[in-house]
Amino acid sequence: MRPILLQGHERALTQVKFSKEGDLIFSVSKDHLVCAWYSANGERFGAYKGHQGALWTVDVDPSTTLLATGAADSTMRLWEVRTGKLLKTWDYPTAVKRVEFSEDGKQLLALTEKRTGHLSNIYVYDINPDPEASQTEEPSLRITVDELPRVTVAGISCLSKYIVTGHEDGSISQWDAKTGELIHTAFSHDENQLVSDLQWSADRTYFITSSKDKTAKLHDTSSLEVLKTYVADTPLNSAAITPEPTQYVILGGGQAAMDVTTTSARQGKFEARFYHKVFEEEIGRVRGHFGPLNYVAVSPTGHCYCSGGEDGYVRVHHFDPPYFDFKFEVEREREQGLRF
Amino acid sequence: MAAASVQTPPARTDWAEDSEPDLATVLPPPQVTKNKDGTETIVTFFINEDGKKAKRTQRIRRTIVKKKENPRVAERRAWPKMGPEAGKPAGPRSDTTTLGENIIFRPVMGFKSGQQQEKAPEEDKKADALKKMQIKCRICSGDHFTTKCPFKDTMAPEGEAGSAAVDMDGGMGGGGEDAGGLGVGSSSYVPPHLRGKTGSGTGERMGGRERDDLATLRVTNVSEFAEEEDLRQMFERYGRVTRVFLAKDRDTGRAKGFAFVSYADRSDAARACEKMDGYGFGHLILRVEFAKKSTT
Amino acid sequence: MAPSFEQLDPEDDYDGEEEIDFSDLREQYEVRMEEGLDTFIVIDGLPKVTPSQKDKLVKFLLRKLTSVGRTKEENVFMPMNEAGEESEGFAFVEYESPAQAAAAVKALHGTALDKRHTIAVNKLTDIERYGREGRIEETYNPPQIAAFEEKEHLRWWLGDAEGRDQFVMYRGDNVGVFWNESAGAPEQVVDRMHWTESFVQWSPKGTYLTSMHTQGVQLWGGPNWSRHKRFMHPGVNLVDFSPDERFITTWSHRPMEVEEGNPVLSLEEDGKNYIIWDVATAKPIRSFVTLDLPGPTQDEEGNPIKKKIQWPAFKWSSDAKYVARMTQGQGISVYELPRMNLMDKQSIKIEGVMDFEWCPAPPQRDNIREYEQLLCYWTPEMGSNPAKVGLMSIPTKNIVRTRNLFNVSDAKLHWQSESAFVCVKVDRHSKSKKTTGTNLEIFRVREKGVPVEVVDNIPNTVINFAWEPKGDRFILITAGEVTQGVAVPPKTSVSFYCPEKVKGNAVGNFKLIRTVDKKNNNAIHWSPAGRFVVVATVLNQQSFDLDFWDFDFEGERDEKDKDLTANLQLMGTADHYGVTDIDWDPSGRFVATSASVWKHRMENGYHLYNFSGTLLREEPIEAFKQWSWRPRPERLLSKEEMKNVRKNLREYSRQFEEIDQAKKSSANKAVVEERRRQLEEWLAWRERTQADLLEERRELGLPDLSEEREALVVDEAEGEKVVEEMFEEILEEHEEVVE
Repeated sequence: MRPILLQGHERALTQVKFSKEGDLIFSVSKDHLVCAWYSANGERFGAYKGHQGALWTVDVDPSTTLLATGAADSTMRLWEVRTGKLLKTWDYPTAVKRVEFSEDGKQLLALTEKRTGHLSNIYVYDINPDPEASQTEEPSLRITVDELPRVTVAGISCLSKYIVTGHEDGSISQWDAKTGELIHTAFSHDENQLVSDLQWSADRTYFITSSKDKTAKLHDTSSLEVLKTYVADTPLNSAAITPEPTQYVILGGGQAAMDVTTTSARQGKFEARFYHKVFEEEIGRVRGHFGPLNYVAVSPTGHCYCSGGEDGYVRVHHFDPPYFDFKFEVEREREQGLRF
Repeated sequence: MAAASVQTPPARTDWAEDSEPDLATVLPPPQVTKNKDGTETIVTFFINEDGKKAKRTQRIRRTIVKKKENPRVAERRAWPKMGPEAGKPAGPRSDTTTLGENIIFRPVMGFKSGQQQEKAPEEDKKADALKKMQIKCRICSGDHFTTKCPFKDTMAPEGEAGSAAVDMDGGMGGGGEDAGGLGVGSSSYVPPHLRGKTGSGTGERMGGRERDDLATLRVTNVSEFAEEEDLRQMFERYGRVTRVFLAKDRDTGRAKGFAFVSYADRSDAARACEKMDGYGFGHLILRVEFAKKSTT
Repeated sequence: MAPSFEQLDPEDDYDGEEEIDFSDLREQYEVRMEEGLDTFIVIDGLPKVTPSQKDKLVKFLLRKLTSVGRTKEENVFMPMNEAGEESEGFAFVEYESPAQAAAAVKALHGTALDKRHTIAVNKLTDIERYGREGRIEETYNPPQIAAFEEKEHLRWWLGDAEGRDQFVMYRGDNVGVFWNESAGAPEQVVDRMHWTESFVQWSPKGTYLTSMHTQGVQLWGGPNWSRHKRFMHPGVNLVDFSPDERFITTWSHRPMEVEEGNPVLSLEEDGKNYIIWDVATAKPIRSFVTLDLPGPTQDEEGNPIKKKIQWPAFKWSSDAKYVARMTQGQGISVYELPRMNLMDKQSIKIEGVMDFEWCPAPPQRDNIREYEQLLCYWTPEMGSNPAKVGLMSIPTKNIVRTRNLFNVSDAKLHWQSESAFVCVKVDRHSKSKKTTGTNLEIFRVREKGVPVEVVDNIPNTVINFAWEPKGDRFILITAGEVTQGVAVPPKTSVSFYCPEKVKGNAVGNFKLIRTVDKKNNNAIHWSPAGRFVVVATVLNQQSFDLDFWDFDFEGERDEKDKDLTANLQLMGTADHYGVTDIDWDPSGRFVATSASVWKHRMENGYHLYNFSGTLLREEPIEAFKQWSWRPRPERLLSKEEMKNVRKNLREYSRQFEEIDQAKKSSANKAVVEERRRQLEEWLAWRERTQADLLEERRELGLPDLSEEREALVVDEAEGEKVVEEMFEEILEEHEEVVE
């Protein structure tokens, strides 16, 4: 496969997101820019200008009408995807580190950063899908996280039932999305190794977290039980689940300052690592970034994936047939068994 | 003081945002030229496996492919481009979109990370071209890499001095060959990592560790309570530090007030120089500049 | 005036040990000998003489007695019987020191006085100890013979079904023995901490693992790695086995101090450096002192010069019937085993002898039927005599061949492994004494008259030379002049030689196949079976390459090589940063390269390659000290049997391949089971959660699929639309490094 390099950003990438049909990729970077690209050929569709600080996060609604972004300028902004028009700006006391639409696109979550004098806050807004309509200023839910360590990532589960957060001490917490009550905390990752990413499965019934502890873990949404663990040899920044029928997870990470204790002659470990989701075994790597991978995202169609790197590039990879044909012997066995 | 290759990034705001060094700023943008036969030649810059700046030249042809798509997708395809792309013609623009080198990605059971990523067959031509790479030492123009030059310590290249102790712990791994002066000289030397090796060669070459003295900075006005580790950590942000030499008083062990920091990559050094000059450390303000050859 | 520091006699050195008063400790712990009686000896078996003859007898005895020590007539006490008519037949003699008494016992005991009398001489204290009443039982009790214990099978490892070889690794404080699993992780056999104190060494046939300790040397073996033998040599530094493992030589640079009552060592060993032991009984046979090499022992400032000890100093003949030591400049002492007596009671005088070597295998000289072993030696120019190289046959001491050499500055002897050739590498110098070049004088031992072939015109100094084991080809490495002021060692050239092709069974003259220049190589390691060789650069910080060559390449042969008996081909090259040692396994299939912490600390560990240079495994290990393959004894198969195996190799290999496959799949069975279980579990869980989710969605009145998932669904009615996309096709591309 020939990766397509998207060079629209001058600084490191912080997040990349596919539209729900997988045809568009939205990329945000520390250079204050939000770009949109066609995933098929890497052609840039446009850019969304307005933020005045490094962009930390982006998400698009299921209909690919609205785009939400959060930045270091302490605002979350809502844009019309097609025209680039800024529809709404929400101001906060601190930077917005995560934004996410619920699975039905009716709610939008914003996570603000914990800083001296300010705690982490989670805001949930009810969203009007019409771009012309005005959007509410007040959140329908606000959670101030005061007793738990700093929140690093957050998301809305299936049925918009729970809000799940990842923290800087490696723990995962589950909150009631209606009342904001903390239901349950799981100490999944190694102590004090922050959770760097949280991404859902296609139906949001399970999710994957990545951590600086060099592992990624698959969790059950309702119980927070760790279902699978994938062990890498470098701190991870991001992890994604490929949609069925493929059963893979993709991990991305790497250390910028060279890790002296390894004997690898290669320049760092800037690779996207593929593991089999069920068997937890590594099955391949894709190199190319010359800086750590900050985010990996898989198209909902499963035909391609992209990674945003510290090097300022987004690399889009369309898989070749072997990727789809690959099966472990027990999977093949099962397939054939089912036929009879 | 700053090296020419560093571009100043646009509208830098909160310094606190920066948690990692930025690689994106250093490379020049891609260049496109149209050829007579309707194809285009694109030159992109990147950093190769050995950490060296390299350029990729591609000749491409644009074709139009018709595909059947989800109607919503089709609809979006028809949207006019907006923002900086407004008014631009259809198709990927070479200043924003380029094709990388072909990778064969095939999941395998029992994947071992030591295996090299396979390159597509046409890449072998490229590998052959690299094999014929001519090596010339920058110091004495002999047919060896600069780091292997027997005169390395006596005739330091072009005005940059390296001083004193070698820090053996610094920068292992990926010690790229310093292929000074390519293209000149007609030796048939084949660098070891490119010789036809049977089976998977390790290429674990930690010997060719490079202390490019063009990438050595002199840091002065250093607090006397500073330690090598402090300096290393401070300067590691900008790239791989191969050596830190902190001048110490032999008797008391306190810092004498200056230090030398060597980077693997000159551009890292340039960036560090720019960013660390004037940095407050302890009760003093550091001065950082490129180390000049000492007059001995 | 009080003595001051300046006036101190330098002779009275402050020897720390003496100053400290140990007397109270000595009193407490010293074994009490009968006071003052240990200077006495008792002589028994004397003729009974009358008082008048007594004096004569005493004088007669005195002559003998004074030959070993100092005594006087009055110290000889010959008691008379009660009646006073004649002597009792024994006498007491007092010597000046107990050591003299002991020497007397040794020298005189059992010697004959005259035809009818043989004296028995013993120390008085011994007699007291053994003979006193009550000490010895009056009745004879036959000694108990221990029941026969079956000893462990010492060659158990050869029976490994997969034919794996073993090796030992010494890292940190642990010594471990492993099976070589080629590409996989080595299977551990045993691993013990503090098994040795300095290093480990295999016996030449691989039967024992030798460990070194301050008190001596221990041999371990058998499947349980139990201690089989122990040799007490306090302060031992080096150890050497005879080729058949029947004898072992230990050496310590400190002369031994043997106390009385040492169960193993006797006073004979006191003050000696070398001991040659019989392995089976673990008893010392003979001991020797280190011969100081000629030359000053102190340099100008009076500092002692450290002499490099040549090891092994006692060289074994190939069948361990003889062992020889050279006294540099004088001669060679050849001892016969098992008694270790000097052959012909005298050393072989070779004036000026600088070095010698036994042939490594029984020689097969043309027309010689009798048993012989050969040793090769050389002497430098002395006065008007030119330098000589000689080949001597033992035990006849006939000089089979000599050769005169001129302008020799140094020479080194290299036997081929089957004693077919011995190559003398001669460093020549010009009249002005600068070394100009090297010659090889090759003695063709198997041919009639032992002709000598000269290979000359070798530029520069030869720094390394190696014969092909069991073959007739060799490699040498030459190095250029060391240029002053440059820290880097000069480039070396590697030259490959083989005999010319000639008709019949004869071996042709040696011809240069090829020389490879501008290398950094300094080490040659042949495979023990011949044909393959690794030429490498070791102990070099800038260069650490390994070149794998094949001498009998089965591919195309170069035109110019068609008259040569070799088809040389470089199979591959590899690197091992900081490599210090290279070892082939005994089968010649694998090469282990290691970086020992005894030489540097930069990166330690090992690499394992196969014979063609493919890296099979690498493992960096902290504090890695030593790697050693376990040697194998000679094959027991006859030549015909071996030929048979080769012929039927295809069939045998099929069997082995099946075994390999079975092994791989059986290891996988467990894994496959586990995966099956995991998959079942996962799919079941997914089914459950999906069902639950669907149920909940329906309960809540929501559509089956959430909006975001719905996006992917294309309605029948809508159908798909055609879309135009522009793609880039790459026609050509290349990359290059930019300055």
